[in-house]
Formats: sequence, C-alpha cells, structure tokens
Amino acid sequence: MFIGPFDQAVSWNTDSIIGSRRFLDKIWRLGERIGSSRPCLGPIGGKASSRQLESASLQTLLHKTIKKIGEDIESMSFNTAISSMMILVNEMEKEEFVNEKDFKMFLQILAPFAPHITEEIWSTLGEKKSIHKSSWPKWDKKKIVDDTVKIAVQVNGKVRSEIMVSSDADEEAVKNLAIQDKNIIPWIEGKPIRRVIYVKGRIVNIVV
Amino acid sequence: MKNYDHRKIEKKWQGTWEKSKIYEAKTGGKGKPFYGLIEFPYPSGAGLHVGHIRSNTAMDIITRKRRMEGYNVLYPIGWDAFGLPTENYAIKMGIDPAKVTKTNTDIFRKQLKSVGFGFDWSREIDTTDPAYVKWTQWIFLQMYKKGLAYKARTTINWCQSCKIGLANEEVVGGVCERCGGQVVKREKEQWMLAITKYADRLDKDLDKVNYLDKIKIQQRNWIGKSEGSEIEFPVKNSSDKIKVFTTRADTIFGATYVVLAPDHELVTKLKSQISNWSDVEKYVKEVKDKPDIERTAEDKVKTGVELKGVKAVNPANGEEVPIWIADYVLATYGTGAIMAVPQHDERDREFATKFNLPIIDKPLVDAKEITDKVHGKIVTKYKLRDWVFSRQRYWGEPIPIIHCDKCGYVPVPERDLPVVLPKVKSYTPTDNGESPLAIISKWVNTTCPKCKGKAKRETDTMPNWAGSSWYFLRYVDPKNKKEFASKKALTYWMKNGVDWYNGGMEHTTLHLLYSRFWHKFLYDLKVVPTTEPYMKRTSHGMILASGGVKMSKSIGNTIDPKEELILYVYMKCL
Repeated sequence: MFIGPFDQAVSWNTDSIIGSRRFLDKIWRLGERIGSSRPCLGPIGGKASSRQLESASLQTLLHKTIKKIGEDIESMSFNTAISSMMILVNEMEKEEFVNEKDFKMFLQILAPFAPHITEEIWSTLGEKKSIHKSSWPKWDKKKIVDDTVKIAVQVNGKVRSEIMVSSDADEEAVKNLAIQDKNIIPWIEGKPIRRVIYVKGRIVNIVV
Repeated sequence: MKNYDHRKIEKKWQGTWEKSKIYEAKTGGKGKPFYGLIEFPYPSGAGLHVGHIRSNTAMDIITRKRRMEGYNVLYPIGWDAFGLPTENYAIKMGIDPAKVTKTNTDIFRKQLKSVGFGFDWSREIDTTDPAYVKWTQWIFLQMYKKGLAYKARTTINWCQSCKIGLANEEVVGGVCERCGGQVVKREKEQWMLAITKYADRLDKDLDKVNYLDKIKIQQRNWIGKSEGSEIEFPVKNSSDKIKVFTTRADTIFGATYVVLAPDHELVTKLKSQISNWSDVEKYVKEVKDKPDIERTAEDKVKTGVELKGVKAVNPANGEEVPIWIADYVLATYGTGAIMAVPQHDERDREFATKFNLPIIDKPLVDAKEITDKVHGKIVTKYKLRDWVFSRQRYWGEPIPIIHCDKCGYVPVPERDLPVVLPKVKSYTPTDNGESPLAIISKWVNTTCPKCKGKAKRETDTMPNWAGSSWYFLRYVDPKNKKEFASKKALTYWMKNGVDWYNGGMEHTTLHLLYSRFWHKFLYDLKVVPTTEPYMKRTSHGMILASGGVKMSKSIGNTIDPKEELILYVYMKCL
C-alpha cells in the first residue's frame, strides 16, 4: 500500500519492501522497549512515571496522525497514511519517554494495515481482547490545535510585549489579540491607531 | 533484542483469529451492518497475483477500520471459477476441469489465508458449485419467462484457435485477446439477453450511486444513449429512402453527403444502379471481419467508397448529395446510416477532407422544428446491444432449456435444477462450432417436461460473466437451499446495496453493467431490496513490473507469487 497512490498504476519494486520491513522492525523495538519497562518505571518508556512526561509535540503529532489516518483510509490514500505513520514512529523513537496509552493508540491505527504485528504487541502489553475488536481511537481536538508560536508585539517599532497564538491563526485574530494585550494597552491608549502590520508567525507592529 | 519473527507471529494469530471467528459476520448481529466487497478472483493455475493483493488489502484496511468503529462487517470471498484458462488447461492435460478448479481454489485459499486477510471464510462461494449453479440457472429461467432471454441468429466474433465466440471487447487488433488467434465473423443461433430493455434505467440510475466519475463515464459511454432525429433522405430516381439517425438535426443544411454502413441492406438493393459495383463489393468484403471497436476507433484512418450512379436528396433543401459507404458507420447502431456534416462533426470533416467532399457553413436551425418539417421523428437511441449469452464450451453453466420437436423451447422445471454438467474424463471443443456437450448423447437426450416425449437439452453454456452477475447476493446467505438468499439476509446486508465495492478498472464496463442489469431485473421481480447493487464503487491502479510495463507471462516479468507471498505476508503495508 506504500507503493504509490492507490488509484494509479505503480511499478513493482521488490527493494521497496525493505523500507517497509524496517518500519515494522522499528515498531517491534518500540513495542519491546515500552513492554519491558512497564514494571520498573525505567528511564525509557513506562506508563506510570508521573515525573516524566511525554513531550507535548509528540502528543500533537499522534493526534494529528490519528485524524489523518482516519481520513486517508476513507479516501483510499493509503500511501500517505503510511508515510505519516512512519514520521510518527521516527518521532517516537527519538523520544525519551513514550506513554503506553499513546503507543497503543498508534497500534490501533496501524492495525488495519499490519494486523499481525499490532495484535502481537497489543497482547504483550496486556490486552486480552483482539486489537481488531477494539474501538477505533478518537483524536483529541484540543491536542491538535497545537503549535503555538510566540509573536513579538511592537508599538511604533519598539517591542513592548509578546503574545502566544496558534501557528495557523488568521491575521485579523492575531492583530486583535495584540491590540488587546494588557502590556500593550498603556502604550496605545487614547491614540488613534494608524496601521497594524503583521509578519506571519513573527511580529505585529502597531503604528500610532 | 529479538527481531520481529513475522512467520511465527503471523501463523499464531491467523490460527487464533480462525478459532475465535473474529471475522465472521452474523446476520442481524451487533452494530450497524457494513458490506465491503472485492471482485472475487478467478482461480487460475498461476496462483495469486500482486494485483489481487493490492485490491484485497485496500478493502481489508477499510473493513478493519469499520469493525473497530463498531460496525457489523461483512467482507466475503469466493471463486469466479468457470472460464477458459481452466478449460484450456484441462483439455491440454486431459483432465476434468472440475478437478483443475479444485486444485486451484485450494492454492488460492491457502495463499489468501497466509496473507491474513480478514475474510469471512464461512461464506466462501464457488460459481461452479452445483448449489450455486442452481441459482444462476434459476435467474436465467426467470429472465426466459419474462421474455428477456431469447434465441436469435446473430453474427459473432469467432476465435478460430480457442473455438469460442468472443464479445466485441474481447477482440483486439482483429485477433483474440487471450490467445492472439485469428478472429472471423460467423453467423450463429445464440441465446441473447435483452439488456437493451434496461438501457435507459442503467443510464439514468447512475445518478443515484456513488461511483468514481471515470467509472460512470465508462458505463454511460458503453450504454451510449443519444437523443436525436430520424430523417429520411430519398434516393433520387428510386422509391427507396435512406433513413438517417442524427443527434444534430440542427445542422441539416450543412449536410454534404450521406454515409451507409457497408452492410446496410440498401447497398445490395441499389446494386443495379451503382456503376462501380466491383469496388463497392470489394470494400464490403474487406470490412466484414473487422471488429466494431476498431471500425469506430477515433484515431483510425477513415476509409470508404462512393456509390457512384446514385444520389440522395436532402429533404431540408432539396439538394442532391452523394452516397458513400464507410466502416465508421455501423449497421447495428442508430439506423445504420448518417447524414454527414463536415462543418460540425470531427469525423465527418476528417472523412470529407480525405475524399475531397464539400465542407459548407450554413446557419443552424431549430432541431425539433426541422425534424417536424421534413417529417422525421425525435427518437432515443443506444449503442448498447443485447447480450450474446451463449458459449459453445463445456466449462460453464448449462443453459437450462430443453428442445422438444412438439413443444418448442421448454424451460427445465425449477425442481430439476441444477442442470449439472456431465462428468467427462476428457474432451475437446468441436470444429463445427457446436458445444462439446452436443456429442455426449447420454446427457443431451432427455424427455420433454411438458409432453414427456423425446427431447434434447440445450448444449450451449453461459458465458463467464453469468456467475459474477449476482455473486454479491449469494454472500449474504450462501448456504440457503430454498432461495438464492433470504429476504431477511438481503434486507439486512443490502438495505442500500453493497456499501463499498472496490476492483479494477478492467471490470468497470461489462461486469459492472451486467451485474447492475441482473440486479435490476431481480428488483423488478421484487426479490432484492434495491434498484442498484452497489452504493459505492472505487478502483485501484494496476501493479506494473519494474520499468512501468504491464506484467505479462509472455514477457516473463510477473512476480513469482510463491517467493513474493512471503514478503506480502509481513508487508501488507507495501
């Protein structure tokens, strides 16, 4: 299914299987890492360590991937579904700590594509019921609205404050936030605003 | 760290799943029903092909997701097992095709199971199983009773090497698509199915379904519905008239010549007046064996001959125009004659340019008005022809009809179904074009169900398309002995038709059309709940050999399934 767009003719290439095999091997190792660290709260993996937290960006990526896989299956875009799962797995590999609950969600969205390996890891993680009879994971809307970026707010070219906005917030919303920021209000109060310039993802400059 | 031992783990889970029956669908079970369908494979001797894997995997992924979403999923599998390759192999080896089929389906089953698809194996069907054949024949008999199955003398494409009649689309470049053998036209008495009676609904109801646009376009092109006018062009100095069919009556003032199909009956009728008869005769002979598809291909160089000595009269302005014959006009479509307007029609223009015929630009008129004025009439025509349903082969469903000298055609009584094939050790197709069943007198000779007199069985068998025209219905209730499927199972699984059908683009013309036709017929009998069989139809691309060429046994670039299967097994996400 990774071979190319589903509705188009594709050329067979035995070598391309190797990439897929590596992908499964990575998942296998992740499964072992998470499975083996369960009882002892080791530094890598584990579910019960409250001191360690999975990074927010991984959670975001996970939920985005869940959403994407669901949509990709419906549109039969299997090749893009698999590449996004590959990206997710690469990120998980880099993480020091991966939440078991989240790893299982990943297994569930992979299950339709790789029914055997996911069933095996699922059961080694203590699940009694077949993964194929489990419930399709729901993605969390809040976790997807993620990447907030820091925007510098200037008044007449001088930085007076910073605001956090979501990376895909539209221009008007960002400008409004800047004007209403509590650190900015004293600088612009009672002065007519001539212009507001927004450089996407970086700076808002208010000219008074 | 241990590596992923795919063989061991796959085997283990396949065993567990089979035991716990997690993929078995229960009619009326928990959750909303979801019916996902793939084209059931033809169990060839070569085993599974990568193309099968691609299609099955796609629907496997979709149905697994649906199952996890809480749906009650039906994802069945079976064998479309009648067909030429099995028969030809059986002839070559001198064994019974039923044996070949058994061997091949055993291989396919094992291979499919080893990939780990989530099929419901408890519903496995086989179109050659007498319990299945019974209902294929039953549907045929219902069609016969409603006048939709009839016998007619028709010209067929005959492959001299396979010794079988071919559909137009099975003839490529004048030779048989399967074996490359020479194809000739032959006249033969054939059983036909009147699919044309459903042409309008087959076209219109495409609006109701969710098919890819390119699939709908294919269906519509094949049905070829066109609204137009029938207008008569009198032949000068003769009482004969040339009835043309045109979708562009509005361009009639620009008509500069008339074209007849080479086999139009008027051609021989006008013989005495035609001054270049030997040229005409030669041309008619030349095109006789050309398949229709080639004759009408757009990129084809236009050929034709003028009927010298005769003229037609344009009824709109009284002007005389020459009469031509050309192979791009088919006797079987429209009226077998056209008025040519090179100013407005690409094909006519090409033809006119080549033969130096006038191209004139005249104002357009109202199509309806002019049709009335020249005493023509507005009609709807279809390219779709009735379906030639006879094959003169052994390995197919016997057509359940008995010929009695006294009573004529008599349907086999339903209680006597299925009519099974006689057991043969070996046999060969006949050269005279008769079915090999014709020489098995023990089987052929029977008694008439009506008058109890001596009678003979029909020896033609059904085409390969028969079993696949209704197989999706059998899956919902595959073991039913009293009906092809119970009403309860049909309304449960097919309330809106098959929810999602995926398959190759090579089956989006005929198989799709034929099965929609059978389904509509069954709907009219009130034995299926929907007018359309498939709610949604998608398609997958072909898998090409490395280098982007089509995989083909003759080139030797197919993948050895035995070797590759090992790879698929752990690499479904290929």
